[in-house]
Amino acid sequence: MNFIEINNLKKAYKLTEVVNIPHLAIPVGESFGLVGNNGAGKTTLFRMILDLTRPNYGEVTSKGIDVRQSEEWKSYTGSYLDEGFVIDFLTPDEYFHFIGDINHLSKGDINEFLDAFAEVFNNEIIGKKKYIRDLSKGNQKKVGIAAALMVNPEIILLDEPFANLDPSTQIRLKKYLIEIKQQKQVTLLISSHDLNHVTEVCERIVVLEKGEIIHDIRTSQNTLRALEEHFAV
Amino acid sequence: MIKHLISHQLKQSSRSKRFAEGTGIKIVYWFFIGLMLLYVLAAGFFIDKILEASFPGQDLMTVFNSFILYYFTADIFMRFYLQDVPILSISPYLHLPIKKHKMIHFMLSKSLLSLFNYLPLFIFIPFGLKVILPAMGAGYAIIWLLGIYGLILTNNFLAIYLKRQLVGNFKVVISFIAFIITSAIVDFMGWVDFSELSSMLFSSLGQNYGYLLVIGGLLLSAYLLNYLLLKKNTYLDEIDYGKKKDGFKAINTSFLKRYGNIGSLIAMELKLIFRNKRPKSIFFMSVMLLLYGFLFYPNDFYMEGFAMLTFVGVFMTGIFLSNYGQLLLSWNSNFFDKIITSRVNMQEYFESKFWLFFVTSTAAFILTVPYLYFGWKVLAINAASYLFNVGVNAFVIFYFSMRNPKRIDLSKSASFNYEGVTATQFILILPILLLPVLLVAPFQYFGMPYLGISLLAVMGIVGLFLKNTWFKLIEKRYRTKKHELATGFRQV
Repeated sequence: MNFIEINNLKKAYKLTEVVNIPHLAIPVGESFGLVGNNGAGKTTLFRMILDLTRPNYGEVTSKGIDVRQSEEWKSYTGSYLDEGFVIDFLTPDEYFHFIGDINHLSKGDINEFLDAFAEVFNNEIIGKKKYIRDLSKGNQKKVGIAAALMVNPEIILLDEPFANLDPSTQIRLKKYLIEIKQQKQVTLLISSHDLNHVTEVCERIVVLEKGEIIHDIRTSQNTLRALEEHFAV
Repeated sequence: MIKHLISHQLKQSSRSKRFAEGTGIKIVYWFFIGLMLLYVLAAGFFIDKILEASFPGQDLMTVFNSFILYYFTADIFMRFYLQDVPILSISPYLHLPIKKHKMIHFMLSKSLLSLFNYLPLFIFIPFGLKVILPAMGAGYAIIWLLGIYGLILTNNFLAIYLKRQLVGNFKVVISFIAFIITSAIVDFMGWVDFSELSSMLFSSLGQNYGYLLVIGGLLLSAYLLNYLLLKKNTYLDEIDYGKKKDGFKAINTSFLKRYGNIGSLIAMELKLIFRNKRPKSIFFMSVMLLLYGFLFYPNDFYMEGFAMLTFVGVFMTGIFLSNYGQLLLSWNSNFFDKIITSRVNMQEYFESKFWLFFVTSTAAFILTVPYLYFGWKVLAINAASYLFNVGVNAFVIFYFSMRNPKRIDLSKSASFNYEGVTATQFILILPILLLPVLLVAPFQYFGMPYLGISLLAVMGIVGLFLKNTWFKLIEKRYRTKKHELATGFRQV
């Protein structure tokens, strides 16, 4: 069964086409990587999957239902695209509990999840009387990603999750993503500039250029080299 | 080097968002600036006539001079509240081969451009020309004006210094305020007559060039005070005055837990209001405006009618609703993407906002109950106005708040901040305040004012009963507007 299915999806700003995808299907449980240079349309594609941007044409379905028709997808989708996903005048604790509350998580669930993240948070995030806006960029991102993962999603969308994170956190996040994919059959959609990371986490990689899919590959031992050759100047 | 700095500053302001704001806002903004200038100009031009009329038979110069000391005290407080501390975002330059002292001098000179340094001239120069020049001669008038201007500039640097110390060394500010309060007490008790002192100081000013040296010394010291302070503090973590980190403010919202999602959303909104300057000042302004009634109720002229009192009632019980509500969604613009991709039911989202306004309006109404002192009529009108606000106006505001809202950066300061305000907001606020007045006026005209007041109340109650219908309508409108809203809010 396909989790996400995209048909004839087109988005253009004025006359520049940013996304043009005739068909793309992402099956349940797949880890899907999206790579491409700046302006390739990665974020716009993610935004259309999350119904944040209106496509000029075509549709995105999640579990077979058009994301624009029903909001059902919100109950099983975790996402973090940019700073617009955190509420910066709250402390991290307040933010996690707010997100937990609207997702009907109990206090115990929330704390259990946060405890598992203790190492990632490195004592800089939980229990500190500091607003998210006063945290470093890297820590803000940790908060945003953790909140996306916390809600027990069946599908996760992350835009450039590894950028700005410290090396240990990058490695931990990779491990975590691979783990939940294997154990809970979570579907992953990740965009990244970092070819190394994305080939490690994802079993399928799609290369986007000027809004169009130009490669769609199963990850194998040769994928990284093939990608590097593709992007070499 | 300075040339580059100046060009960067010009670019910074001409490329800023304020500059690119809609023409509507610009026209209103410049209209008020123009109006203020006109007032000051008129006051300066007629200053001698005004003084003559107010203090007949007294020497104009003595009277005028006796006010100057008070003027400077008021001036420094006004600057303290309204004048911006000049900030050259120094960080991008620190690693470049530019001497620090050059940047500091540049930053300080920039403050001289403030309007506060020029407005008073519109009063002092006309007075100097019309009164002092004919009476005391050119030499005296020139020294007098130069001396006053030196003190105006001294005030400029003193205010900036105090404002900087607000984040640096708070004791300095406290001692200054203590000094002013002590002087005020001394003056009030009559131990020292400051108006006489002022008059004495400033009438002798023109007689001696030596005073100019003293004032020059004062100016220089005020400048040096700033210079040394900045010189000591040009390190990245110390210069970001603009980004002053507020202390953490705990807000206990656990009592809202039992209201489920709506409670969580209200808790979030409450934190938003009390942890960000602009919404916080709107809140406190609304509390202050509850005193608005005192302007009208003691006056028989207003008390006879009903329409005007309806306006007062709607205003007092609904000022927070209309001021905060007109930017309803913009307040959440920084994280709107998260709201609409989370499991937030949008009807609940709007309901949470409604209950926030319901509670604040109710509180405002309860606080206006003591106006009962002025008669039952006042209470009846206020109660009807309150019902109309929560039952009708709230939904009107919700419906129109989705018309082309703009992003608001919550971290920015409150004064003169029109970010997110478009023509819609100006147009919207009028019917909200005036519609109830227009409803009551005809009834008053035909001698049945209480029928009009009852109509307001009934409309409000019916509106409240139908609230689920309104929420459905609002949510439907939100659905068609959603992408437009999210895109608009992402435009930084």
